[in-house]
Amino acid sequence: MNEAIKERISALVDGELSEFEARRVLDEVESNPKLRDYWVRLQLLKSGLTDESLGFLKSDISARVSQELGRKPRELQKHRSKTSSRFFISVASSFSLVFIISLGFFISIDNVITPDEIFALETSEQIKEAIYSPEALEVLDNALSGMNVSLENLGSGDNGQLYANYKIPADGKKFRVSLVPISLYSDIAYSGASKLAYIETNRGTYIVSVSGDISAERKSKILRNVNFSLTKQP
Amino acid sequence: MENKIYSNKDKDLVLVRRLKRGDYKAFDLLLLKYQSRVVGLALKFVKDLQIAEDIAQESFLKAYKSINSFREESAFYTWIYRITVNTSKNYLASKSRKKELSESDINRLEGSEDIFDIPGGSSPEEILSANNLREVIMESLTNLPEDIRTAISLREFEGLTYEEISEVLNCPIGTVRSRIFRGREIMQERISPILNEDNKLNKSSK
Repeated sequence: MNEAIKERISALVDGELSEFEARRVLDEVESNPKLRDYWVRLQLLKSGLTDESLGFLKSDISARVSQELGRKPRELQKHRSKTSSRFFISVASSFSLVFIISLGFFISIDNVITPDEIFALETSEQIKEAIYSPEALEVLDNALSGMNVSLENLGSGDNGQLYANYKIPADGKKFRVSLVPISLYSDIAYSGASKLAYIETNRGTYIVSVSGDISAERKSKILRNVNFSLTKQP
Repeated sequence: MENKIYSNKDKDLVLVRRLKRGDYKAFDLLLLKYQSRVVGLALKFVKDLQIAEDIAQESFLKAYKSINSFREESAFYTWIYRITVNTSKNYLASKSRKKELSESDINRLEGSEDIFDIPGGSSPEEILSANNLREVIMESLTNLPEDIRTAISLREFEGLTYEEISEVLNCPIGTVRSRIFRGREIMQERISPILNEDNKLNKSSK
């Protein structure tokens, strides 16, 4: 099993993952039954340490519940063998990453940020921290809320930019959401920049953009979601 | 912006919120996390494993279908356990099987602080196995390298968040996360033989 994903699962057990990171972990767990079992063992470990009830360990009703909810039933791998012959383990399909678009490639104009607005956001010192912060990931997550897309991968650039590549399972189209520190905004010639949103957090400000093989309407929706999440913030 | 990292008390919250967004995978992990304890709880009421599992199943289904009514004012486990208690009581009432437990027994169970602490219906072998597991877990903790043991102890016994631990230990949060993970890996190796042996016993007893 991949050590990095196991470490994330360990953090999830402690409630120390962002929702965005958790979504990635959930995808991984779904595709790997061993990780599902790993989750259970970590729970046992925690319960054993803290004197919580270990419960009735021989019971695994997860497959039954899944079936009742019309889901593909799965069952734990090792120490719960009770009904293994009746159920099968789902294996998620793998995705391949083929879509890379360079930073700064923006498609159309909706929300043009004026220089006044940019300079009004005086948080450049903390931008790098912000871009790597859980808040930045939350922005991404909010941006894709309700769009039924799957995350393919995340990446970051040397200057603190963050990007996430997504796929729309329904039609196979792919796109990227990028978050760029506002300090780079003037460095990179975004003369044709368009369809942007910006996010100000208590740790810095960055610009959000969407690019790729999806309609302008969808791009607008993503950015509206970003702005929506912004307005919800205290 | 809303805080991304949730406190110890709300450690299920990120999964709950994923579930509220329609992510079944989050529900699956919550189910895996609590099913043993929920079945154990139902067993206290009905004394029959099969029925207890049915009640647990129904309780989780109710939780899944009404997750949007969960207002996050309490911990998720409190909520699912309350659902289980009510489902168990409804079962006893509907089947006129309250004689399995007296009214005072039910009241005692509902009001007892240790209602979730003792595996209901466990056989002596199971209790022994659970005790053995606990002993091995505690022993493996004792044998961890000091920096790792400290991180895990602060997390599990003091309930500190990773951020708080990083302040106490004066190290980055990433280091805390890594130490806790490595400690759990070591402890996992120690308990694996027990779990695997238990699994063999389960298989052979069927």
